[in-house]
Amino acid sequence: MNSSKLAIEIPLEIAEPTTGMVQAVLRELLEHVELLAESGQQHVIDLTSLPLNDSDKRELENVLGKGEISVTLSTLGDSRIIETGINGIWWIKHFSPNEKLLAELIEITPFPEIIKSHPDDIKQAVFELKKLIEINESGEEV
Amino acid sequence: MSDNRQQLAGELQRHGISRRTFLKFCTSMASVMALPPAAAAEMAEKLVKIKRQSVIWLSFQECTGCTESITRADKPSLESLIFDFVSLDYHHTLQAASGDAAELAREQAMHDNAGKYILVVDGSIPVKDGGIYSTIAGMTNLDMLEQVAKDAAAIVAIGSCAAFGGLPKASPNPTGAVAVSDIIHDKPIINIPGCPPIPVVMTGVLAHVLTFGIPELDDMGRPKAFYGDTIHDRCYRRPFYDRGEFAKSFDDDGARKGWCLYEIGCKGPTTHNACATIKWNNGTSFPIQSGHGCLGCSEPDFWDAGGFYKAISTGIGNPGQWATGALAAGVAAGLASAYLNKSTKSKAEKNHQEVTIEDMGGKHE
Repeated sequence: MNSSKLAIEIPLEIAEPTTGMVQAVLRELLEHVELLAESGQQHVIDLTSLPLNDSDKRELENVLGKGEISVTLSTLGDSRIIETGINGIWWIKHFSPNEKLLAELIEITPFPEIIKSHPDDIKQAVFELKKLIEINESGEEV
Repeated sequence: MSDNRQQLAGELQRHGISRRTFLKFCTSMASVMALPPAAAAEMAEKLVKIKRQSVIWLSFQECTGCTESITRADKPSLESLIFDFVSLDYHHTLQAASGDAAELAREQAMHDNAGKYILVVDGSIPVKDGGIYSTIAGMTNLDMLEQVAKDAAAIVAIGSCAAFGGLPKASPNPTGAVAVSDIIHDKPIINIPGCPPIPVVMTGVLAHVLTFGIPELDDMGRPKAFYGDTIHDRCYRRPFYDRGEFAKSFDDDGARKGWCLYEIGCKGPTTHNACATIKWNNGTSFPIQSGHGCLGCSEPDFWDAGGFYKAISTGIGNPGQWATGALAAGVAAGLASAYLNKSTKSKAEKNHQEVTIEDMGGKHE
């Protein structure tokens, strides 16, 4: 049998139909953006716990659009943190080193906590920077 | 011992694991456990302060599928960080030691951490004929469970076998297999059923135990965060069910359109698990997404709960219970055990249900 003749094309990805959940999520977002604007109350919506399929998520991403800030956090795989076209709504995707989506969140906040340097890491940074200065002054090769 | 009980913070920092990494780990854990948003930060704060928790893992009547599941995430994965938070002092399949040295490691850990260690069990425990059907180092599973459970802080029963008896308990249950909770009554037991359970469910529960203690459990001892909803509740095909759009057989028009699989036997409505949201194989898919109904593998006695391709609404006669009833009647009548075994076997054969092409919605040619 000549295997080269077995060229059957199988579509690898078929887009699922949307479920209509996006409308509900948008209304929930509105409620929380109003709260953030009025009282500064922050909120997180965990997208992995909602019954959204991939088409829904793409639709929601398209509706919200992209804003001015996009951050890549590189620790045990990348995390992509972008502010959507709506100020105060941040879309966060945590990936593992093999690109598996671990968590997908929408944070309604002025600034996502994970971007800040942690006080403990800053304390450690004092030592590390001193060490670097010593090495630098002694003229050692790093 | 002092080595593996030092604070994690310094140890992990030396491995280049920053607090952001911690927060990322805890965010994904909190996310899968549906904890409130503030919990991720709190969990991270607690995790860096804890000392390594001693864990003794006992494998009884099982297939090692649960261990495969928890260790098979591609490394290095964030889930595998859990192994940095615990000291796995005994685990048949994973430990380097063997024979007497292995058993010694178990006894040493039990002695050093008496009252503090976590006991993880996968597999059911055979109790028929004094428990002789499964032994480790000459000790029956029953004896080993009782011995190790005595000084455990808590027990985590991993997989449907440890939680509910699982496949070994399926009719006619030749070894008298039972669940951990049938034997141990004086310790907190967390059941994490599934055949196997989802990896992140196991690591999530362990992370919760390490930081916030025992998670909220339902009446079957299952963490509500993962088993609070049915597959059906969170299924992306739910809108089709609500609209009455059902696949009537595999590969019919409805099946191709991705309609609800209820009528071809999906057990989603009666199965409590998190497959629909967390999914399998690195979040790739889950049975329903692949076009097959849920088998209900995380529910008690799922193997005896009627045909996999019969709709729940058709009713599920339980041949297992019927066979057990006949067995008990036989004992009352004082029949010889050899005859009994034979009779039980033939009944089991009679009750054995084969899946036919009609079950799957097809037609004989």
